[in-house]
Amino acid sequence: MAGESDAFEIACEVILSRTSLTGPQVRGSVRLALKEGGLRAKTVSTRQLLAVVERLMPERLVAQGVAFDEARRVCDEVATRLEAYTDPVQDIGPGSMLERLDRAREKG
Amino acid sequence: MLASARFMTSLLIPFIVVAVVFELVVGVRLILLARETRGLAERLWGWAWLLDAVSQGGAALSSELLSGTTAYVVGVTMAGVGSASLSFLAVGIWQVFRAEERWLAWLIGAGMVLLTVTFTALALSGGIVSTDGSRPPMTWINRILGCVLLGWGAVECWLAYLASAKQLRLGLVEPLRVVRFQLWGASAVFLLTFLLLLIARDVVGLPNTLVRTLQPILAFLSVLGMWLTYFPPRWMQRRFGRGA
Repeated sequence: MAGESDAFEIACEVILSRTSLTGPQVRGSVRLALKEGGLRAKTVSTRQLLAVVERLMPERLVAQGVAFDEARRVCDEVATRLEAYTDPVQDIGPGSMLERLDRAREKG
Repeated sequence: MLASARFMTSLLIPFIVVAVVFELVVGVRLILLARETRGLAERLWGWAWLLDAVSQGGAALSSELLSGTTAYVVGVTMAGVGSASLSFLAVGIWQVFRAEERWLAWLIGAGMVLLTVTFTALALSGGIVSTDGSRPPMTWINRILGCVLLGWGAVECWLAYLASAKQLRLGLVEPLRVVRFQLWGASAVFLLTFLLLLIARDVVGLPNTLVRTLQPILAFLSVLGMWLTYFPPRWMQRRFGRGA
């Protein structure tokens, strides 16, 4: 599905290849975890998704019937893949304007 | 009764002046900072507030101090500046909160074209400024459009607030970010109420004294909210921690 962020696509790809879940189940689970973390699939960055994968994703996978240990292993693998990826897009979304203003004020 | 209402209104004039000047300063400061950040969003919001301050201040001054053709020309100009401010606001909200939604850009673009065509048609037919004290069509268009945009902006600010509160639990942002979205949302709600009061006065006959008393206070609180959102002072940064 076009339009989602690279980080989202990487996470879905790893989970799909390491579990018996279907594509829609994987994407739905990742979306639910993102929603729980106040993030959107279209704009989530690598840094943000790493926090979600570490804190919220294992529980989501367990809810889909994946064993806890396996869910942890899969999430570790997703984290490794995300860490190795150089995201061309930094955090975007509502907070980025405030961040830019803060940086400019500090410099000034 | 009338004398006390006038006295009350005169007491509130400083609030209006401070709100307009404050809004002007917010706009100019955002535009100046945007030169450093090279960010489109802050530039758009800066122009939106700057033009709104010019439009509100200019309209208030022209109705008090000018008459005849000069008042008409200034009135038309200020209505145009007000419409331009709304256009900047629409693109600004899209850029900050929904930049990934391309269809919104088309919708806003179409809206801006429609607004320009309507403004031109009304300017040619004398529908921008009235000479008999009634509300001309352009006033209603700007008010309703303003309500729609401020309503949208307020919803987006509060959604961003809820999202940032969730992100705070993940350690992705610091409390200051959450507080800033709260202030931004409150500021938008104050401005929206400001406009809704004007509409309520003209449509359902809300007492003018009440409207004129509440408006300066709402304007002042709204601009204060903007200032604290964009340029949080050091005490706020210390109290809530810097944005992540």
